[in-house]
Amino acid sequence: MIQQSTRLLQRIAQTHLALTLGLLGCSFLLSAQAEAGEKYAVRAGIVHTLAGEAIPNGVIVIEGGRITAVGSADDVKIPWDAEVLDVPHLEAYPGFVEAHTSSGMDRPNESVSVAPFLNVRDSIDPVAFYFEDCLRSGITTVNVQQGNACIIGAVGMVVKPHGMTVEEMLVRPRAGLKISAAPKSGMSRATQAQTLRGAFTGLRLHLEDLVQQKRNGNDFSRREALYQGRDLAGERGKGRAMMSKGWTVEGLELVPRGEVDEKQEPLLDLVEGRVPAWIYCGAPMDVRLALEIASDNGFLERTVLVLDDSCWKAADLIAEAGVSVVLDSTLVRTEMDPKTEEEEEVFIPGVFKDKGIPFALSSRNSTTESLWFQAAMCVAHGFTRAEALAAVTATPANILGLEGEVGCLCPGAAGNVLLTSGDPLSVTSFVEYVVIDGNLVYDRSVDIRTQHLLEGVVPEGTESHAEEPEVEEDTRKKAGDEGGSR
Amino acid sequence: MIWTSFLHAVCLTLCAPPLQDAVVVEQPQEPEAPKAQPAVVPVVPAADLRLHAERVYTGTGEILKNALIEVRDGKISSLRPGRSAPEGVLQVKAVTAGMIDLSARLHSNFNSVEQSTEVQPHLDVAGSVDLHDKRFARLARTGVTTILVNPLDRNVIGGRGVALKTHGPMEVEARRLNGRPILRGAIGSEPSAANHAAFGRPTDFYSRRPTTRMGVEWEWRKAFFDAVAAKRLPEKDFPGAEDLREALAGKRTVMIQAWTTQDIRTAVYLDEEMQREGFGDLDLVIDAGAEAWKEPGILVRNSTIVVLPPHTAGGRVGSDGAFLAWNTASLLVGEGLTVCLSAHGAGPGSATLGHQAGFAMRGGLSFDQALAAVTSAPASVLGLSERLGTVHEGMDADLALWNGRPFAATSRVTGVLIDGVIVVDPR
Amino acid sequence: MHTNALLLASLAFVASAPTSASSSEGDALAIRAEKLHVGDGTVIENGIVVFEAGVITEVGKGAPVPKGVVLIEHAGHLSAGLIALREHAGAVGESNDSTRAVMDEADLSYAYRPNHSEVQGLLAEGITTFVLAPRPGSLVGGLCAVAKTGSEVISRRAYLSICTGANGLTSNRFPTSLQGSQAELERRFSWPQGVFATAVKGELPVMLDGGSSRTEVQHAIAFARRHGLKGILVGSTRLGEMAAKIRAAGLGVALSSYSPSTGRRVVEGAVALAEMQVPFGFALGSPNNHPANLRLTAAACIRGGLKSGEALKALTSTAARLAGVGDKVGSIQVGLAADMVLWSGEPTDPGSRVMAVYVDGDEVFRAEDDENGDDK
Repeated sequence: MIQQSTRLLQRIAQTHLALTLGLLGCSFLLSAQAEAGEKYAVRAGIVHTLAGEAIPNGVIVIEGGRITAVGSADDVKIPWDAEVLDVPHLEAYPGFVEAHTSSGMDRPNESVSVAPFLNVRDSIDPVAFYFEDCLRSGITTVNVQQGNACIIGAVGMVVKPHGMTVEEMLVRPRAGLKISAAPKSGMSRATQAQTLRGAFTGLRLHLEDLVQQKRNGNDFSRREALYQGRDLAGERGKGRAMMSKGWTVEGLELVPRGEVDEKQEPLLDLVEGRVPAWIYCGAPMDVRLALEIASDNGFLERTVLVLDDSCWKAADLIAEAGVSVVLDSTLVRTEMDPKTEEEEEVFIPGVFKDKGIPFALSSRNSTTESLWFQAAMCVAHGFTRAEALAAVTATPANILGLEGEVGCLCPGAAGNVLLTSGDPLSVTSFVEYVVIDGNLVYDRSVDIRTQHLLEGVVPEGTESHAEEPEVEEDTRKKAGDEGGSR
Repeated sequence: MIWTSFLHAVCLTLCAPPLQDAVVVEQPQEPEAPKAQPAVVPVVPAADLRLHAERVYTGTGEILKNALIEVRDGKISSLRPGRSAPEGVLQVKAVTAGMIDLSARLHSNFNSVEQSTEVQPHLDVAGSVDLHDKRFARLARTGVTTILVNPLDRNVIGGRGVALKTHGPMEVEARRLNGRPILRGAIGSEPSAANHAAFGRPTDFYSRRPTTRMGVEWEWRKAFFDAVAAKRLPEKDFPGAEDLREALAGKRTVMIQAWTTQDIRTAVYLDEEMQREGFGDLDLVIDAGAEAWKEPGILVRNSTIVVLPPHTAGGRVGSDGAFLAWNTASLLVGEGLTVCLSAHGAGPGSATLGHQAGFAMRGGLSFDQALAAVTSAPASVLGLSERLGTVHEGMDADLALWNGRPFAATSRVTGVLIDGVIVVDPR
Repeated sequence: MHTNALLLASLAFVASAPTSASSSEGDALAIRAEKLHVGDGTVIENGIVVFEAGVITEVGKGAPVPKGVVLIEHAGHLSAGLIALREHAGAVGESNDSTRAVMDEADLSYAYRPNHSEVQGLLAEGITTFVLAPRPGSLVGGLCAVAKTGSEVISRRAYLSICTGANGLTSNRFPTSLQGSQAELERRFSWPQGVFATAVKGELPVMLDGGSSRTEVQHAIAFARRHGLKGILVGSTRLGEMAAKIRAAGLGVALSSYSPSTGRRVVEGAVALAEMQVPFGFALGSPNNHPANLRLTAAACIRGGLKSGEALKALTSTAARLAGVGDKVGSIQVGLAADMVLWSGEPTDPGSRVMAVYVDGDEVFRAEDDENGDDK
């Protein structure tokens, strides 16, 4: 009992410490936002654009949040009115891109099984430590999607890990719908598959019903839409023929889009190919279902598979379907031959590379085994540096439909720059500064949480006695004496 | 008492062969016997195995470039830098000594700890080690070639640990490394985790002391005091008393798990109390000493060796809520302490002992210090510095072969030799 | 021809029915079977076995049938009754005491209930003798008894049952750990008293349950060698992998039953043991295991390469020898008990049925009687 309550106290103290640190951290991290149109420039020892040769003594100019020029300091002129981060001892890299995560939300899953009408926007917590850690680990673009415990989940969004509100963080809204081909808890694979198919059958029946109502001259759906306060003005008031590579409903042009039930509309967007699908596969056998659903309903081209590490066994199927994947954070998997009982290690990114499947890596945790570490693991297993870095920059950018926007230091791209103390894939390098959209958003020299982790330094005023019992020389002696007099 | 003498005799037969008997199973290094050589043979008898490394990190601060390593009878028979790679010889980028994990935790869980009483210094964990456990091979694949197996920390004094190679004969006694004997115990919440007061329930096995940290600490002191008392009063003798007296005499290392600073302090005070009482001086090693960074002074004054647990993303580690700052290894080494790193038995993947060395370097440890913390330092704790932990002629041919700079996140162990046998072939 | 033989057989049964086919009262009986499996590997075509007062008096192709003795014609095979080497039938609740780790003098014969339905169930599968052993759970579980199914105990000290592996551990009494268990057993066997002394002298065999893993089996074998123990190993499906070591230790084996999880290893184990000439029989462990599994396991081993003659020996004569009752049961030999099974075909063919079972010359089971019975 005593032990338990002590532990509870400790836990409270820890939480308290963490919160305090977090708030303090924020006050350091959130420097003034640059106004649109403001100019910012970085001069670094080496600029790795990842879109060409590295540039020694390079300069990056950012205007209005976008990179306008990258080149050698000899060639690129820094505008006179730009704020300059002059760090000749550091190296510049584009920010890393997390292709899929359910971190940074208050809770990653909703209990409703088919819930395409939800949006992660309402669940993202801008002050979650996760987003701070992203900066420390050099991640500047994050695709936040519902967790894997769903059948059809929420609409996700791409954010940058900086901002006091979700709106400030926003990079791309409606960045896809989360689907799971693996059974959520309590369901069998068969019922998961049935419900998943049923959701699309339900959409089809709903749309056919709307068309029939219109043909019958029935006005119910319009009145229902108005009653719910839905917008029927402009495009929303117009009908449009169904555009799908899978199945279509004849006569959908008769139905103003605003009259489609808002619970069904995100699914219609998916079927019409307007948003991508992120389909989770928890086992190789799930891949077939995922591809089948996507192809039957016409959104295979906009499908990305989010894979459990066991799914490397379905790589041939995935290659044939031509879809991209986000890999699990476990990169080395041990498989046992059931007959010989011999174990074999499989380096999973290697399998996908060999099959020519575009893949993005994902973080295992937000600090030690973040994207930088995952890319380094790939180099350790024989990837070239360019291949490994692509799996955390250009490939995830492509998968997210943000090619040229993020993942490289190129003119026209978002002004997201990491300044590292050395090779970002080295365990002894650190991200010293992070610039996002031309704003300096992270400076390690004032990052007390990193200091805490690295050096055990606890800022004054955040230390509690339950956490850190004070020991002075005389009490030590006393404790020792008591120990002796038994 | 007859019974106790039984037990003592049992210990002799069952447990680690006493040092003086030196029942060493490994073949002692025979001087090179001049074998009868066939007519058409080079002057030097062919090595069992040769390999060429761009760099050999010997562990003594030296880096040998383009070195040719020859292995014979499980030992490094020659190590010559500045050689070009002969045709057909196994070639690797880098070589270090095989890594040693003093806290590999490859015990057989609850089968490895005798919970019928909390003090069991006479029991040897060897009896419960399962060499067929796949974890041994997994660990070997990460370049860890020697480990210390201790009982699960559910006892105050759990018993004797056993040092083993991660590959070799499938019998513990044949694989046992007879170095310095280790007595394992714990301080903190774990040794009392299963115990509880009777509370009107039918009294079972676990309704007893200790149920608190102070109870655990009391059991430690009682054990040592009783062992000392039993020497004068033979009727007070108990199983394990002799082991405890040997520990007090510094003849065996006492390795205590203590995650938090309060538990580390308890361990050191216990040792200091024994010194004050004139009972002896424990050769103390703190295992899983995550919070050693908080009060390095007490460790310095007692010259305590620290084995650190694996680094975690957020710093919190272990069941006692300890916080391991990443600079801990570097700070302790800076204070002049001996530090060993551990991956707690993590197999292939991202948390291997090699990665732990890298993470410690992220916290400020130099490469040489990191190398020592996973090779020569643990070898010396095991009393096996003559055989393990560095790369030079005459040492066991336990080698980790790397495809790049050791401990870098961008390289890994691609090959492993244990006793000269290629356990993982890098080709 | 075949039809005639069948007809003859059924006639013989009808004819013998009034006598209730019993020899224990002193009336001699004879059975002629198309194939008579002696138990040592030989098969006698149209062999005759004569028995009187529960004991076999004549065996052979042309064995003289004394005047007045009813000769039963059996159009099928005849073998000795089967023997299960580790069995708990009728004694599940009685065969283990969880309160103490060492029960060296516990006598399993007191747990034997010959009329228990589980025991009777063995007869329908042709099992006429079994070793009643403690269930695992103690370091030393007691003395195993050899019982005739539904009849008497014929040996009260077949084995001393010992668990050297994790099977002997319990979390709420000493020992809870393998090293604790080893220390305790070493103590008992290094300065042996009572049954331990008898075992160390080689006068009392042991039934060693090493546990399931390879390492535990290694420990068990090493333990037996260290103390010069004789007896059998049970409880692991890994025993075949260590056939050479088992042979070197002079031990026998009771193989576990074939099941979905253990099948391949049991089968490969039997083949390996036979190759190394390690004597082995089969354990059953009913009621948790259906009695039919004794013979089905043997059949599975045959499918995996074991010779059918070897399998039958393992089920009968070798098992009897391993249980120390080879001079009483396990073969069709003069002087041994008239424990016999009449089969519809090859005894180790899983398609063969048990037609009749004799224990001590009494017909205790007949297929016709059981046709409407349950399908346990």
